Amino acid sequence: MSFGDIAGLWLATGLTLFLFSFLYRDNPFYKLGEHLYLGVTIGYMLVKLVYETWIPKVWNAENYALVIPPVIIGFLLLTRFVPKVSWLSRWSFAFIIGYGSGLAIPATFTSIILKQAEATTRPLVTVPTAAEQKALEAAEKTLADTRAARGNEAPETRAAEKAALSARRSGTYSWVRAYADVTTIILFLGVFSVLFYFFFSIEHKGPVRIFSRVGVLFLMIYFGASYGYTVMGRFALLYDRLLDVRKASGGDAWFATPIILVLMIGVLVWRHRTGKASEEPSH
Amino acid sequence: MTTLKRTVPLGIALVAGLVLILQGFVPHPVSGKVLTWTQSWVVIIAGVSILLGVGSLVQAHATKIHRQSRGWFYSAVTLGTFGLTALGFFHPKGIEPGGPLDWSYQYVMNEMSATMFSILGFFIASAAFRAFRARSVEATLLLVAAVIIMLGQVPVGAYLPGVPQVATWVLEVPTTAAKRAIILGVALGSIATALRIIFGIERAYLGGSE
Repeated sequence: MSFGDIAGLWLATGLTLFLFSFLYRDNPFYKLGEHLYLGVTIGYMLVKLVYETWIPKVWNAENYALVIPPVIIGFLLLTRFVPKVSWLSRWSFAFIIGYGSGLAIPATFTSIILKQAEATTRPLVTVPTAAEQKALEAAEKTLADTRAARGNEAPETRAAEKAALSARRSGTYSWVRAYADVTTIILFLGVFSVLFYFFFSIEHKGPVRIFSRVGVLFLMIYFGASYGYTVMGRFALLYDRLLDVRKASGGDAWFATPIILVLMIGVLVWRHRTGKASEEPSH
Repeated sequence: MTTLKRTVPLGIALVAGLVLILQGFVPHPVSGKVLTWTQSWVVIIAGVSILLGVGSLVQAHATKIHRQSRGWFYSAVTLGTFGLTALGFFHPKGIEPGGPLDWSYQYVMNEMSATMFSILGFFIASAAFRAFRARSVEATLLLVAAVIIMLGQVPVGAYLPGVPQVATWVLEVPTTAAKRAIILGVALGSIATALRIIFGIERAYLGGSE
């Protein structure tokens, strides 16, 4: 490992332990880590912006006439720092908000409302159509003919069996079809009951209340599932961080974890004993 | 003056909004060009608007340091690390791999973002421990769904018969139904809000005065 890698490991391990120290209580190590993170992130974002937006799109622009108006609109935002002319920033905000609203309407309509409505309003019971039943009859006849002509083991018979199986799936009301139908019905019921729960133009009483209560049950399952999913995602990150901290405890990383941990605990104990911990400004 | 302060911004929002709505519903090469053109505008405006955030941050922390307010040292850390990172612009490698900015991204931003999010796991878990009590049908469903999904995500869940299948079903059917309804509601609400903004009914973005 190069010196830069070891220094980076020390920094990453130290900052990770600083942030984890918040689980004990708010303390100077956590605050130091938090503020350092903020400073580095803003600095990095600014430089990235210069490299990826300002230089290629403004400085090296092909047509400056097309670039000047957005630059002016952008700089009008900075008039917020000058109270006397801060109203000029409204022009920029109006453009950004008007643009966003105008862009959102067709996009939301086509990519969300129509797609979600289309996925919900499917046939609730999918009985085989006449064409599917005819196709099944034809496939069964072909299979019987091929068996009679070629025998049971011939490759042609195997192909006809496969075709007949596929035709049976779509030409008869199978368990697979029933399961798909039940799923469609539950989805339909769930979507409309949840939508109805948020519909306040009718008073929710009597049978209407029961329907809206079904919506609440669907919502509860959704919230529980989202919670479980989020927690597991967070814990996956935690395992990853703990693995990195463990990796940094060996000789390769010059024993970063134990040294930083001992120093941190030493400082926290010293602060607690001298009463400095209670003087700490809160957030 | 009121015209410049109120009417002009409302007019700008109306024109920008209507042009973009028309562009969305008129499939023509010219409308495609309008979209590309305005998109490049917005990227530049967003690029400049970052300065507003950076300026506010610097102003707030510099004031704290100047007044030697409580915790000013941490403000100095923020401004110091911000300045130091921004100096990376002058390094020949810039944001390319192997440069100082890539180093700070790799060892500071990346690692700390993951740590911050992982800490949230503890707080969500402790909040759930207090909130998830099976006292009603709704709370029981919440608890059961969460436990099933969590078990379905860990290796031990694979050894419990039926758990991975039930977890998948919960995610694919009832969760999808509720999520779809919420998405539809949010979409309808966002369209209504967008129309209110374009037609000047919603004016909160103009601020309170005049």
